[in-house]
Amino acid sequence: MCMSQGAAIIATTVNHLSALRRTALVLASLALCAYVSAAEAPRHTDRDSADFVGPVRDLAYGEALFEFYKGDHFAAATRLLIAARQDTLKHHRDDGRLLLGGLYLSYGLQNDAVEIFSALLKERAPGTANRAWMYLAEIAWQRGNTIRAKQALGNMGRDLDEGLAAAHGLLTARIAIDEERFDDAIAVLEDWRGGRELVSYAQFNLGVALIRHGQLTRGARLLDQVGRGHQRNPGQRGWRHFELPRLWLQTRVSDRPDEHQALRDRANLALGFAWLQNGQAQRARNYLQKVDNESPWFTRASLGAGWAATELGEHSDAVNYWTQLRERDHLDPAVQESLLAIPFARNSMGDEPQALQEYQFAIRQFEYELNVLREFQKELDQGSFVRALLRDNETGSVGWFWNLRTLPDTDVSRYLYHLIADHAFQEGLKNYRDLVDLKNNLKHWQEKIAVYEAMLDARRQRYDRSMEVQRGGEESQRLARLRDRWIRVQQRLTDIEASGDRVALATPGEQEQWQRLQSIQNRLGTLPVPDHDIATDKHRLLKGVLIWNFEQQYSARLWEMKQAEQHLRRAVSNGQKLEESLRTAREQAPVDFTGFQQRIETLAPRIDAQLTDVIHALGQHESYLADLTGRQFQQHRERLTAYLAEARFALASTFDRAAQNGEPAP
Amino acid sequence: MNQSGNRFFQTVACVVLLATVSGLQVAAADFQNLDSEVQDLKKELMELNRDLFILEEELLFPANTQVTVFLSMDVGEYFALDAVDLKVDGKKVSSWLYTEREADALLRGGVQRLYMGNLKAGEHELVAVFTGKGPRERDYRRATTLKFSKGLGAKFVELQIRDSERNMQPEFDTREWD
Repeated sequence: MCMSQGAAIIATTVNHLSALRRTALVLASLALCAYVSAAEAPRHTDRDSADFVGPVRDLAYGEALFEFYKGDHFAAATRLLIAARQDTLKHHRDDGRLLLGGLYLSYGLQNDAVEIFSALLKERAPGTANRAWMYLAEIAWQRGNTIRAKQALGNMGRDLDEGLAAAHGLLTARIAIDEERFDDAIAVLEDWRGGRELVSYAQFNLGVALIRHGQLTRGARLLDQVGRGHQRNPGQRGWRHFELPRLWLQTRVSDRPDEHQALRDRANLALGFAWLQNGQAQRARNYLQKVDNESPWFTRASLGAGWAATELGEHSDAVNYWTQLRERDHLDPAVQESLLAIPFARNSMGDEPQALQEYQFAIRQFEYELNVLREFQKELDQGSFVRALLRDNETGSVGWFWNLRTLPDTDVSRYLYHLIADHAFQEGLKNYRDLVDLKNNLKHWQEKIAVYEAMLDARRQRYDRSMEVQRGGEESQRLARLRDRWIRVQQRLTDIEASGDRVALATPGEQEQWQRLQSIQNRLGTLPVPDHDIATDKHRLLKGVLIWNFEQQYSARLWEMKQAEQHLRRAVSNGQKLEESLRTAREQAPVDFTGFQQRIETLAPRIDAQLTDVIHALGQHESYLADLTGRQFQQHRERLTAYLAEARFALASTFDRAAQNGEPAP
Repeated sequence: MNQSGNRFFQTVACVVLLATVSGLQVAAADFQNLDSEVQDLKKELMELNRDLFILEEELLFPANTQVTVFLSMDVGEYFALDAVDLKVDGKKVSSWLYTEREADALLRGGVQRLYMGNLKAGEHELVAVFTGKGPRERDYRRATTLKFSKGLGAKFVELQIRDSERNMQPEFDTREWD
């Protein structure tokens, strides 16, 4: 098989899973849209982004949005859980829960997501709730949980808008077909109305339901229309044209030509085999020939076309149909069948020598494939398969929207392409990958928590040292001195204001001059005349100058002193507050230490216990994935062994016939 | 068609019509059991992660010294953000170069936690320098300053980048949250 086919299988699978995860994300976006409708109108209404949330009124919600939009969904969910625990979502409580529900869903926590949605959506506008239930139904169905899908569909109200009613009808019919309730499916689809882009799908499903119900002619007519790319006119009864809601379309098929081509191929294939079973080989061949040779259904169609040709006795044409499959993937059951069908046709044409060669070729192919499978089984038995598979996919990015993109470049990879195309395997592998990330996360916390414990210990020691200083009372003495000084200044100010004592506010220089003048005044009486008179005049003059200055400066100096007193008062007040705060902190610190210590002592064992659980779950997933791989390979082996036995038997029979006819062995 | 041909045909018909039925689907039930256990485990781990984050924040950034600076953008028509440098009291505390995805997350309403640290009570100055492309794709660099008082409780500051429709220029603003 060519690697490109394998890559195509991966691409198909990845696209399918991406669609599933996109659905979960769209659901998260829906939560944001719900906010827009519930909250005040955004300031800038010109934004056309479907999920623009408008002004954020809780920082914690904005933080979660930032992580969500940049793609770190684990961080976003953690932020929302923290916000809920700390009760910091005052305005966006419901929006936060809706977003968390979407994130849970994308992380595979369906039960928790449904619990959130069930509780919240009842209070929401019916349109929003119905849309959310539709997404939940779709996701449940894609994950194979039909019961939950039906419950979600049942939760949708009666007054659905036209787009949602179309989506509801299509999924209801699909579930009915899966459960082989063809009457129900037909009843739903015959009354179905929906958008142009979904009409072909509805037609196809109705056609399949009718055929499986035994109404071949009616079903064939519909499938024929799909196969020819013709839709019933949306204007006709029951097929009116509606535009589906934008969000719904994001998770649904687009108008891409390849998707319509795929639908046409499926219709022609189903129709071909329906007619073949009905014994109308020519009609069957006409439809089977229309399947595109790039289509995944081409091998089945060619095999069927070959059998239709055989039915018509046109063995040469049958060989041509089957021969073109030789270059295809030899793991494809249809291709393997064709390896046996070719010699069968050659025998029918009487070309036994060629038939023998073809049988021998088929035997070599089957033996080769069985040998590859045997070798791989050894690797599988060693238990290193899953780790080896992931080793080549370690990109360093941790995320929930991860897909397996590369496979080991070995012969067995051809089988792995088929394996990983399986939804159950991808989901198991994704869980495994999530568990690996969670294990790393826990180990990271395990290291951190040890550091925090040491840090707490260091803080406690520092606290003890500070308590020793506290016991020395230096800080309290300093505050006491400051308080004394303030009281003295306050008293002095009161005295000055009461007495009007200007001298008390004089500068030290002026005070010294004033003292000297006082001293001189006492001695003036002892001086003889005229020295006494001259000195007295001079003394009076100098005293007058000083008093003048005192008077002039009094108001300003009194104001300065008041300022100084206020400054001291504030310093004392701050000091007292600080002292109180320190005292509280010192009293609180041992409580905090104990609280943190207790939390660390509770959390550390939780980390250890959960790490053990995660490692156990990893082991279970490894076994599950290996078992899944083993089962699929067992199927390959059984089929190949059966084909090999058949080819050998046919070869032996041909030899026998040749021997009985007396012909030399070819 | 002979017996052998019929048998082939039966096989092919089964391949086509029952293509979805395989042994792998049997395993789907096993997976649902396993998945259910893993769901419980994931939920417990997310809650543990939450508790550890809360412990870490309270231990490293106690409320009486905690200061957190956030960044948000409203519209961004006149400014495409490339980088932010943040200084508190003259010391660089955070520097962020934006990827396209991060800038887009801001434009869509996300709020980024730019810095979380400890500051003592009193007056402080915060300076944020924004670099990017302004109107008409011209290089643009603008600073905004906030003097704020840190009390005894946690302090939250939001840096906001807005478009001024009137001036057709970006505006850089700050907001203190209670």
